[in-house]
Amino acid sequence: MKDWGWNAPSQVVWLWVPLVLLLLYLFRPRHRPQSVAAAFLWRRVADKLGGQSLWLRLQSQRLLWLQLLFCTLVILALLRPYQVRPGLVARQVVLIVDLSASMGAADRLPASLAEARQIVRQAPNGCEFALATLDTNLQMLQPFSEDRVSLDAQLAGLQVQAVTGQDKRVAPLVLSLLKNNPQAQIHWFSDHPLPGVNCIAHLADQGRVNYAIDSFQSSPEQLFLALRNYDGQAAQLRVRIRGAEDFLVERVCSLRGRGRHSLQIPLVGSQGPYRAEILTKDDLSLDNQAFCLEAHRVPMRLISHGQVPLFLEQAAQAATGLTLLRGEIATSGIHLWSTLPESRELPPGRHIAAAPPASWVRAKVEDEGPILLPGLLQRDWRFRVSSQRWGARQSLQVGLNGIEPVLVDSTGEALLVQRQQALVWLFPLENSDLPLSPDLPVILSSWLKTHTDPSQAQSVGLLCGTRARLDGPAPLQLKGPRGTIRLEGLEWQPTWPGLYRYEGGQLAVNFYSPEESDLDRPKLAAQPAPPVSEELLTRPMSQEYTLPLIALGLLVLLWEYRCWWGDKR
Amino acid sequence: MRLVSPRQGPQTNLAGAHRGRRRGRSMEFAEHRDYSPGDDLRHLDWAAFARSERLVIKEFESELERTVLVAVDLSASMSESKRRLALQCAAAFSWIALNGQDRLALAALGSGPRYHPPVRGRGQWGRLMEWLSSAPAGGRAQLTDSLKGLAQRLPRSSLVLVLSDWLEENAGEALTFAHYRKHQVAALQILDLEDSQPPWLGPLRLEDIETAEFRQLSLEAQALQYYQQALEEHSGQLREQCRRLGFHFHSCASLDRPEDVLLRQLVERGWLV
Repeated sequence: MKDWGWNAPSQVVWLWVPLVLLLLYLFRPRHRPQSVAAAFLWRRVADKLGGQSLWLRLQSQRLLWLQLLFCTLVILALLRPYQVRPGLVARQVVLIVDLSASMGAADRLPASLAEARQIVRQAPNGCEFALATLDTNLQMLQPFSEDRVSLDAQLAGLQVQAVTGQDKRVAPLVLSLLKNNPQAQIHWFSDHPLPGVNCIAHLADQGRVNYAIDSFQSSPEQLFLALRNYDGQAAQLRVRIRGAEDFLVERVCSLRGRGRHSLQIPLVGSQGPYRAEILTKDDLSLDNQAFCLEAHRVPMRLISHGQVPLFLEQAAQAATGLTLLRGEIATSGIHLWSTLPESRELPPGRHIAAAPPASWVRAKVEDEGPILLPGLLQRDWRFRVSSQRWGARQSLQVGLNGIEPVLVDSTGEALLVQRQQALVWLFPLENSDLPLSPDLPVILSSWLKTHTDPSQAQSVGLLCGTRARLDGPAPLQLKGPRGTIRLEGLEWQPTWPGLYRYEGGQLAVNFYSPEESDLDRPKLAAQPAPPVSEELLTRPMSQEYTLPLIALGLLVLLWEYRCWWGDKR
Repeated sequence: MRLVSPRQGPQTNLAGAHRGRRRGRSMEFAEHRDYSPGDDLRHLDWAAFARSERLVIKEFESELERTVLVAVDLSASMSESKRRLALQCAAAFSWIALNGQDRLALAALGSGPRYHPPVRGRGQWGRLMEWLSSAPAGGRAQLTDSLKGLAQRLPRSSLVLVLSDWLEENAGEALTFAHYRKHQVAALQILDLEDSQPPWLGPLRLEDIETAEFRQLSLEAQALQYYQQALEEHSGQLREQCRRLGFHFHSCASLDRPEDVLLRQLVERGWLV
């Protein structure tokens, strides 16, 4: 773990201010006018000096050095450096424990609590402790107090909640605490770093190797394995994938930094289920194995979500002649990938409606009858998929291997492409964390988050390599390698990964990263979230100081310009 | 106290108080020489003939008038302190010249150089000083051209005192021309502290106060050292040229006292007796 670093490294962009200052002084040196009795003597001096060097020209600019020093200090302040001194014993210790669903995996929470208890034990007398937990809300369970007994009891009572952790609420609290008491020692117990606050050590940083299998999906042609790197440093992982019929593949995956990396393993005549395993050992026993079943070969027709215009659905249905399933979603949408029967042929440009594709989206209710789209028009189509999470997407252009456009929208709201014999809807992927193939930004996984009838979902093969919510009749029993999981009611807790039998079928249960751990059950309206106190909503320091500092920098530049303009006149 | 010519006497036909090189008709006996046919018999020393039976002619010293020019630089480069010292020295020197029965001319060098023709008599001193003090200050001196013109207007073998900072390139040409006209020149260089030790540092646009020529420099210790070397070199060239031509050159600071400048320098050099 680094001993020091920057909390806001992006603020380094302000380096352009001193550079501009330097350039201003270089190209517009401000010479004070001074009358002399004999300029010819100074001419001789200039001849002797023979063109002053750059350093000599800048050497005497005391104002420049002052300004550069000022800018450097401001930028340093904006970067917010931190230093981690584990040996430093603070008078105030804040413990923030992540109780989101991902912490229920393996021994994450027990390890966190053990670490917290050790910190409490090692703290000297007179030290004050505060305990906060994070699930859907940030709660201060115990304000600053020297009572270690109650703190220990509070720690013992912590349990993982099957909810998504709202990490964004932690940063304001931490920054507020640090602002009011810079000597406070804050510990963040989670399996991932706290976004926006790099100065807090977290559990993942303490490990030697911290990687996990993020998702493991299959298609008839290949397997898609997503690995998540919790460390910022690059490393190489050995990954082994086993399947039936002696299917064994070992890959070395180079992880360059924190984030998600995907692998594609082609399948040649093999059958599932498949098991992926990271051979490199890590310290925290994070998710190092994942399972997926064989790719389901039954044609699927679930290609819509609630935000797709009705006319588009009808157009696609008319084009394919297949059954269309519509999911009810409010936030994240349904992301689908469907295959067509091998015997079915769907030549491009056969359908779909009378109006050009753009107007299909704009004028949703006007149906002017089927037309044949000319090939020339298809060649001009451009595809773009945008996503806030994934950043700028690559354009899907006509001519990619195996891609034929069927339906395009210039605004990127929805489009339909044909890949070999599959029709694929492309949606904005704002809420999706599914892996994308580098040459085919098509969703190759099914992710069902719906209130759809489980039996219907199963009948269309939605359990194939997907994360599913089993809302079936309680209780459910899953038998797996680590025992039998009994699901009471509608409760579903992600436990150990493995292959389980479920009502005669197989089910692959895997762990997922916190970003994907939103397997939350339907929200219970009867339990309103406790309000977050105003104290916790204190803005970070950077937001408070950035604006005045920017204004100050602009004033400095304005002053420079004014001086230069005055000299010029 | 009167001015004397350190080298040669004036070349004029007017009678005055200075001994000329040729024999004249003053009352002061110079020497005897042998009679030559054609000599005026009135100059025969009959007493000597009686004693030695030789015909000798009695010769007398010639007493001629001499013109003294005091040229004061009143250009823009002459700061207040320099100008004050120059005027004080000019006043003192003028008094001495008029008191010594010399013909005194004044010149004010500056914007439109002014010249006051020679006058004689101590009574003229006040009027001359009034004229000099009323001369406008500022402008460009053009020391070389002005001194050349003055040297041409003056009778040969005049005594010229130039009170200036002499900070002009090729100022030595005027000295050469004055030597050609047989003048005796005393050059008094008056520098103030800003000239000798500039106190400025940093990026400066050094603009000549007379010619508007400028140089942009970032003054550091090295540049100031080069400047002082250049100034010493310039003054040294003037001093060396004056020594070679038999002139007198003295550099002084504007804070020096005028009596020191006049007494120590001019008396030591034999200009004042």
